[in-house]
Amino acid sequence: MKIWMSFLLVLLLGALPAAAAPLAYVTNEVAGTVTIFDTATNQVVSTVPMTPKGARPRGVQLTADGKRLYIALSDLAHITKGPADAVVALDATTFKEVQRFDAGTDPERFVVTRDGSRLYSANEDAGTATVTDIRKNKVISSLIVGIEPEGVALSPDGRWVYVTAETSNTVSVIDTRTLEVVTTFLVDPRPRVAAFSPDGKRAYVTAEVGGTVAVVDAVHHQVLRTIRLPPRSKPVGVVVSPDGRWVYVANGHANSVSVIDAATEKLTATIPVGRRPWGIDVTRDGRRLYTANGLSGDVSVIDTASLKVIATIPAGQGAWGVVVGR
Amino acid sequence: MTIRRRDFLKSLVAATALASLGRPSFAQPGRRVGLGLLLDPDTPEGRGASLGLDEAHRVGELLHVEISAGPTSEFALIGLAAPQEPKTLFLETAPQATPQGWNVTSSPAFRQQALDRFKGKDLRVSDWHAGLMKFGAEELNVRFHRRFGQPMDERSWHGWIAVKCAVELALRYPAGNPREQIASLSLDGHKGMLLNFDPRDRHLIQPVYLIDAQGKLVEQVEPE
Repeated sequence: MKIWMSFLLVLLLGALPAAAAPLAYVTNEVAGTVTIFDTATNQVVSTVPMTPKGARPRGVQLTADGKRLYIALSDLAHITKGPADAVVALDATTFKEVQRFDAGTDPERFVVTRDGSRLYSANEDAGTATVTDIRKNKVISSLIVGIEPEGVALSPDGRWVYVTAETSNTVSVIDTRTLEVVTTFLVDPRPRVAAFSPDGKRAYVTAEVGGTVAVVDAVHHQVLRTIRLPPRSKPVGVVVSPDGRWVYVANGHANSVSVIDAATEKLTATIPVGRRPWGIDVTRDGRRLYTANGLSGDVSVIDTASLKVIATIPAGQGAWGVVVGR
Repeated sequence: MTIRRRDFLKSLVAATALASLGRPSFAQPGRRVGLGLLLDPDTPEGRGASLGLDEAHRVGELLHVEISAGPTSEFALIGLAAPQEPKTLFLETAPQATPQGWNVTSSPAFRQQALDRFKGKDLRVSDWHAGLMKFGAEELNVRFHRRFGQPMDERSWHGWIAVKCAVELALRYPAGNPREQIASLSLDGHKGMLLNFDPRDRHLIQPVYLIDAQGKLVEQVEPE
C-alpha cells in the first residue's frame, strides 16, 4: 500500500508543472532588438526586433505582476524628436506588442507605477518628465525637471519619483499625488541613475563623471553622504538587493561592478564584467546579478555569493538595459 | 524688487496652502546671484556664455537661486582678460593668462605637449569640437546649434564653461567666497572627466582635441 502511495505521489509530482525560472529581458540600442533569456539555463529564448526599423530600445521595466514588459523607444539617428519615440508594452510571455504610448520626445528611462496606471518618462532633450495615463493612453502632464534628465526611480510606496539630470547635476522629486516637482537637490557631476532601498528610506544616485554614489535620505530628499568609488569608475546603473543589504553599481567605462555594503556605505568588492556595463538588475532571491554590456554586446551573470561572473550570455549590439522577471 | 515681493507672496501662499493640506513642504528660501558678463554677445565666447546663462536660469529656478547677468558683479566677472586688481573672481575665456584671472582654456604648455605627441601630422589643438558625442557633448552641441544655427567651436565652449564655473560655485558653495573656492571646484564640461583649475598656472585642466586640416577630430589627449 505504502509503495502504491509513493508511486502515486511521484506520478502526481511529475504531472505538476515545474516552477518556471524567470525570464530576463535585455534592450539592445544599436541592434534595435530585445534579447530574452531563461535565467535557469542562461540560454537565449528569443530575440525580438523593435519597430519601426531604426527604433532604439533603451529603458526597460516589467509591471509589478510581471505580465507586461515596457520598453522606451527613440531614434538612433535623432537625439531630439524622432518618429520612433514611444514607450511600447509587450506581453511578457508571447513578446507581442500590446500597446504603444506617447511618452514625450526621446524617452530614455522611465518607471511604471505599481498599480500599472501611469508611466513617468525622462525626456532628455526637452528637459521634462512626461506623465502618461496608461489606461487612457494619454499624456496627462509634462513637468520641467533639470537639464538632460535621464534616470527615473519610483519610491517603494509609490509616492515619489526621482528624476536625475545629467547637465544640471540635479535630482528633481515629483510627488505622484499632485504631479508637482516638490523639490530639487544637487548631487555630484553627471548623475545617471537612482535606485531606492526596499524600505524606501534611502535612495542611491550614481554620478558618472563625479565617480560617486550619493546616499540620499529619501524621506526628506537630502543627500546624506557621498561614497567615492575608485578613480575612473564612471558609475551608471545601480540596483539594491531585495534585502536592502547591498548596492550594486555598474561602472560603464571601467567594465566592472562595485559592491557597496548598504549598512557601512563602504565599497566591499569590485567585479570585472563585460565591456561597458550599463543596465543592472538582480533576481528576487538576490542570488544572481545581471549586467547589460554595450560594447561586448552581452550579459554578465554574477553569483552574488562568490561575487564572480559565472556565465556570459550573448545579447545584441549596444546592450543597454536588463530586467529580470518575477 | 516688485518681482521679488510677488514671488515671495506667491511662495508664502503656496507654503500656507501646502501646510493646510498636511503635505510635507520642501520650499527653500530664495537667493540671488549676479554674474558680471564682459563678453560681446556677438562673439563666439558671448554666444557660449548666453547658452550657459539660459541653462543657469533653469537650474536656478529649480534650486530657488535667481541667477542674473550684468556689466558688474560682486560675485564673479567673466571676460577675455582680467582687469587690473579685480575685486571679484575673474574667469578668463581667452588663452592670454593674467595674474588676476582663472583661465578656462587649457594651458599653453599642455596644448604644446599634445601637439608634440603627433608631430609632423599637420594638426591643430582645440579645447572643443562640434563632432564630440560622448558624455553629453552631443547634446551640448545640439543645444548650441539649435540656439545659434552654427556649430559650437572652442571659443563658444570657453564662454559656456566660464558661466558654468561661476554658477557651480554659486550653487555648491552658497556661503563661500568664490575667489577662495575656485581652487577646489570640480565640474563637468562634457569631456568625460572632472575638470579642476591648476593652482600653479590657473588654467582649467582638461582633455584637448587634435584636429586635422579638414577640421576632422583625429585624437583626444587627456591630462595625466
